[in-house]
Amino acid sequence: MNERTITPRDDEWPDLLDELGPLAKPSRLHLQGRELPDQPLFAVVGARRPTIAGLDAARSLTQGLVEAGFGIVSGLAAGIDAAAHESALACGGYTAAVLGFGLDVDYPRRNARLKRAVAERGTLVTEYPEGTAPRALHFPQRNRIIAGLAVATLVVEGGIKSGALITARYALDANRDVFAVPGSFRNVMAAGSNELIRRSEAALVTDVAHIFEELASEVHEGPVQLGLEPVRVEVPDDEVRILVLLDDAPASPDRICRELGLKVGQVALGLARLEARGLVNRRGPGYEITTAGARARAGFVETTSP
Amino acid sequence: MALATTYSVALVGADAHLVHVEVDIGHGVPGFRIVGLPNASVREAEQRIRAALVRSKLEWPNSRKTANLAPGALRKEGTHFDLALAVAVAAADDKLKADPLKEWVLVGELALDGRLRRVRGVLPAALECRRAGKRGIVCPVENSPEAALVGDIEVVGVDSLVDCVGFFRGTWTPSSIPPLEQPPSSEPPDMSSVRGHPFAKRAVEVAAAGAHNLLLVGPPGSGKTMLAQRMPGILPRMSFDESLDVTRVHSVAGLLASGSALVEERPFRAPHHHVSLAGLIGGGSGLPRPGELSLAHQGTLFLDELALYRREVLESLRAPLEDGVVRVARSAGTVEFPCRITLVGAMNPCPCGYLDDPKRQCRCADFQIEQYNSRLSGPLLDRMDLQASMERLTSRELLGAPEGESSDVIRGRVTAARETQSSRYDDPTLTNATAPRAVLDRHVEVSSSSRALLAHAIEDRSLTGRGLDRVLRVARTVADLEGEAAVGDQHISEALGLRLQQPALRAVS
Repeated sequence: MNERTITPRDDEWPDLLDELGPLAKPSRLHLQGRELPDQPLFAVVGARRPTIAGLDAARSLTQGLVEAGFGIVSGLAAGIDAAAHESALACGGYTAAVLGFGLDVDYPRRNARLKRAVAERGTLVTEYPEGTAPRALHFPQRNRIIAGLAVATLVVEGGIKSGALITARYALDANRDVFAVPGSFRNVMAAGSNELIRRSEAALVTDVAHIFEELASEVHEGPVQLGLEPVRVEVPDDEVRILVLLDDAPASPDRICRELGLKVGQVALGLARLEARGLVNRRGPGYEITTAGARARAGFVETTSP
Repeated sequence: MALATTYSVALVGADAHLVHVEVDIGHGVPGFRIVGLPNASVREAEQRIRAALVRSKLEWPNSRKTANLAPGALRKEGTHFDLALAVAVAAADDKLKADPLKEWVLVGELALDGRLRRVRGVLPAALECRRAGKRGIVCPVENSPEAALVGDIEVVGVDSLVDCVGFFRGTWTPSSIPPLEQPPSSEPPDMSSVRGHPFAKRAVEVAAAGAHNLLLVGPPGSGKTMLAQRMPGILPRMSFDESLDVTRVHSVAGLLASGSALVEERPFRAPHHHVSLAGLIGGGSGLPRPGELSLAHQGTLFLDELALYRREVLESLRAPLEDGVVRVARSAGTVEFPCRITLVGAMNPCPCGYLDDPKRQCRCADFQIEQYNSRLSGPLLDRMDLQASMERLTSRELLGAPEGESSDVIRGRVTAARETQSSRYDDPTLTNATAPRAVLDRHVEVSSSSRALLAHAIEDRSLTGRGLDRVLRVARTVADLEGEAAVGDQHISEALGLRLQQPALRAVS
């Protein structure tokens, strides 16, 4: 379906790729789906096992970028990549997925449906011929194309040695802007993105407007409000304390016991009630605050602060 | 006299069945034949009996001797038939009066010099002796304390065939049974030495109180094994009947130490993950022997690295966990072994062990984690009533003073909770984990607020019907531990909190 191979001599060849330098730029690309568009592309990349907060950030920032006229490019991996592709498609935007394997390979398998959706409404891009299996070495290579196609790169969570950081490195080497969403200092998944901010290599982003300020020359349609709006919720004391603790970082029930000096039964009751109301969510062996929980917690702080 | 009968037993599973040992001495080509489905160990008795009889100043008659082990359809295995066969030969040869032999059950293996060696399965033999209404049992001295556990029968411990023959002739009187030499019970490690892990500790306590199966998930070195080893120390002490039940299985497996009798400590079995199907649930060639599952009867079966066990081995646990007995079918027949156990499983959250670790990043690919977790089927996970995750401890916790309660204090609460259960169900073998659902339902009323908590868990966490049933059972146990008659929100929520989301179902994106 609409598969083609392009080289730098073709009209469809994205000139931005040439800025990767003669050694790094690919010699040909295999494409499937729509023609690569003229609109600027924004890379949104991040952890394969993100936190709920990370997924939330990826979705809302992607939406803001699409509404401002960007196409979204990412790597079709699980986690943040998938969330970026999905929300770009969901709000009617364009998205390109750069693969680390042949066009006919489904990997990871659970993204097979997403891959078909991108092939229909966006573009699949790879430098590997059909039948090439995913190999660990391909993915860092693939990342340079993601960075190369995009005018700027947004990192939402990523460990110190993550692929997302490799993408950011290629973007910096090609002289493109890099943005990163900050995470809690306890969140290993955000260690890489925080490190980018610490070294001033990435600009800190908590709102899509921050990106537009930075890219003033590109597109700008006024600030977009995405901050947490406080909501007043009645929450008993133990539960408030748990919520405040979880707002800092996800925590295991054991840690909640220890930090708050509560009994197992009290913590279990608090968590079960908070979870039933959608204010916290299980994450692996621990719990994390949901967006609704963060709003409730913000409301709680507002109602009690002098 | 050319025909004599003595009595012995055949072991079937953890039980013994009375066997008539008939010996006929008649005309014909001299020789010795045993009929009645004997296996090799029984057939070889001929060589031992012959030497032992001759060296005991008795005779090996030079004529045609036929031994019949009745009932003939029951397979016979083991060397413990030696004594009954030798005595029957002597009686058929008119060296002994036949009448007194009818009142006794004889077990013991002969050495070539006529001494008796200890055998396995003496306790079930003694129980069968009582059931069959015999006067008593004659067995090797070393086994006599074991036989003496069964009241209402006489126990004669003999050292040799000479003594045994002397006893029946009235020329030798048995000395009294040596007192029980209990091996000094090694104190199980104490719970107070475990630092941190409040949830996992609580899970162990609840598991002990309601006989619930427990899964501990945590990175390497987080203390899963340490916690599991403390399980026997907080379980209630065994009643005499329970001890007898355990001793029976251990006797059949030949695991009782020489001179020891009753198993008083609850067993703790930890088979390696390379254990075979037969090794775990029982089996082996010939008549099946109890496996680790039954050796842990009334105690704890600890399976470390649960995901590394072969899948069919794990799946074979499902029915026995539910029924409390394991049925092993072999060509030689199907036997049942008891296995009312508490299963404690331990595993890493992923192959490398660092998934969700706050300090180290997991190096596993998603498919590896899926593969690892898929070793545990949903139905098996459903049966793990309690699923606690353990984090690596912080330096503050590791270096701080141990803060927990001692095992004795916890055992007190556990014992009280177990008593509540046995009076509620009117059956000491029933616990909240095993009580029939209909009976349990009468004691678990779910309020509307608890219903909301449960509804959320069902919708959000794919709690299955069986899972819900297990949660309610655990909630009942939590309430029993607190001494509460009614199950409230806090008990339901604790039961939910002590049950992880199934690892295999954890969404990645």
